[in-house]
Amino acid sequence: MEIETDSLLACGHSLDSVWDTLGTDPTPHQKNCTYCQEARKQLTAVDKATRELRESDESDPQMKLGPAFTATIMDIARAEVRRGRKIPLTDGEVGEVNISEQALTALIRSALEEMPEIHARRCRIDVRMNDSAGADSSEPMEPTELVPQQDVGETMHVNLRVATLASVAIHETVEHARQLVSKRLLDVLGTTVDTINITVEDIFDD
Amino acid sequence: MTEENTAKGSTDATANRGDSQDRLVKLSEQIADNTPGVSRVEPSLQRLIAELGASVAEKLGLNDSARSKLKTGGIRVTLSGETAAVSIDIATEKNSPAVNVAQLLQDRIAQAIHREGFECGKIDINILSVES
Repeated sequence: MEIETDSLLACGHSLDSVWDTLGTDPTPHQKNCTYCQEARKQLTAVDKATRELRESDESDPQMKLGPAFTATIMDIARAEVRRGRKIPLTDGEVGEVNISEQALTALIRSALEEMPEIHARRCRIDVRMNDSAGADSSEPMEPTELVPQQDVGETMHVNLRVATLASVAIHETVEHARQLVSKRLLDVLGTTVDTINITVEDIFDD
Repeated sequence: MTEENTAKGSTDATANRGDSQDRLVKLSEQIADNTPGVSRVEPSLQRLIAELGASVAEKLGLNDSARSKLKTGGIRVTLSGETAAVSIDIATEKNSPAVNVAQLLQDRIAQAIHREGFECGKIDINILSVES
């Protein structure tokens, strides 16, 4: 076993073992050991100073984070979450325009909030190279070709899983949802996705 | 030229490069703030740390060079020879089509890069959020 000799006292006991007993009665060994007694004395001073500093920090308004700073930290935390996967919208000569997957799925979900007869569940965005567009058969539900993205070497496909109200005509409801999502993306982004696949995986009652 | 002069010349060039990078970061930020439809430049933890000041940086074990790199956290400017490339994370306003906003921002940053005497590399705009 490796022993950290730096923290061992001359009597063979470690500083850590003395530290652990601060605030309690000395052990029988410590009562008779000058090294441990001296260590206890010095560690008690350190412990006292540490406590005082901590208590001072807690009561010192200068040491408290202001609401503006806390808000900044939270803004950063939220931004970091959004810095996930990037979806390309355009790729021109000047450079790319990308949108975070989180922002895109939030737009899609907010569009569907206008339809109480449909509940959005999982939303996945697939980006594929143009030459393989349409080759994926994992989502065979009625793909509808929409306005293509501008100048992007890839195509973007939204795969949305939803639940619909039991009393509605599913086909019409899904088609309406598809048009609603497409229009929202066109209005807010100025472009839209290539395909919106919607899978009804559940129905719900009023 | 002596070795000492060569070393000094190299140090000056590195410092100038860092200054140019900082200037392009600030310019890009100003342009984004004044571009219609841009809600804000998204903050980054790196920039916050860089801006907290020398004492905090010292506690975190960051030297000036490391702090300088952190400043490009939200807006990343890469200088390669005489070419400057920019990548910037923004939030856009819901009422302005985000792609149009981003393309306007690209054009404005490209013009600023030319005005600063650099060739324009890629200007990538990342929309992290669309604000309602």
